[in-house]
Amino acid sequence: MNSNKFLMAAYIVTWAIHIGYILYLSARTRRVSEDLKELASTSQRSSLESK
Amino acid sequence: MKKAVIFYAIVSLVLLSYALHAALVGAPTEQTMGDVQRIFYYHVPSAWTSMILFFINFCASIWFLIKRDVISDAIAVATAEVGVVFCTVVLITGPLWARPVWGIWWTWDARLTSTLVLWLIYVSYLILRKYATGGQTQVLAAVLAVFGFLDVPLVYMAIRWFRTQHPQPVIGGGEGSGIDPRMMHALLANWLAFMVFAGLITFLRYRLEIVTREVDAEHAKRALHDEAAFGGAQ
Repeated sequence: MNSNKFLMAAYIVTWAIHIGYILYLSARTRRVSEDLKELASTSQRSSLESK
Repeated sequence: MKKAVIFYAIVSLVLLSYALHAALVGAPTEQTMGDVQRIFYYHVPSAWTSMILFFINFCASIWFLIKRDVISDAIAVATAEVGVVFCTVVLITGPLWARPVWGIWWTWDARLTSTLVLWLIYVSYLILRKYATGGQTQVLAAVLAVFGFLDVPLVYMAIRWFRTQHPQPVIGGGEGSGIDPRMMHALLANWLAFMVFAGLITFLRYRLEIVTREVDAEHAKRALHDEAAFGGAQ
């Protein structure tokens, strides 16, 4: 029974799912960090303008 | 904080590497199934990890329903999402083992069906959280999580209560159950490694949830402020 390809597929798929999820998480984190930075810079600008 | 996360990530990487070695090299080859049995070292720890994550989701959801605090709700989202990732691994590695051993990819027995239902419940939970609008979304999601968790004991006990094609339990399965100590070592090493790894990604997902809520709250505050200023100008 040539079952090694199933073993390899299972291990590769497991890591593809985990790595894919980590990449998805890091992309979302990057987007939120950029949003946060933008919010901070606009609030700084508006406080300067009000002075 | 960043240094602690990096340290934790290195620890989980070392554990995962050790566990991979234990699964592929350390554990002996099973006599009847051959090397394909090694799928077990990823399939079973992933299943246990997802069940633990769903249990934390259950506790956090109950806590949220009682206290309505942001932290328990964020923990609930993070554990549900990571739990679904691990449950997906279970649902893919299972058929990859079944095809060469049983000759079929899938059968509608109690263990497989209840696991698929479990996955669907938590996917529904995540879809509800993402797309539902209105103030009661978090409460509805928490209620769904509490009732959805009822499937977890059913999944766990399915192979004990029903006659299934899925193999019988190797741990805590009564007389005659059990595996070679080297196999058990590989199994527990993988479980530990996956639990540490799951802890890391759950923490990262939790932190992301908290920051996302802060950003959303700030956007909402500004929108209200702008609206008030615009209304005042009119």
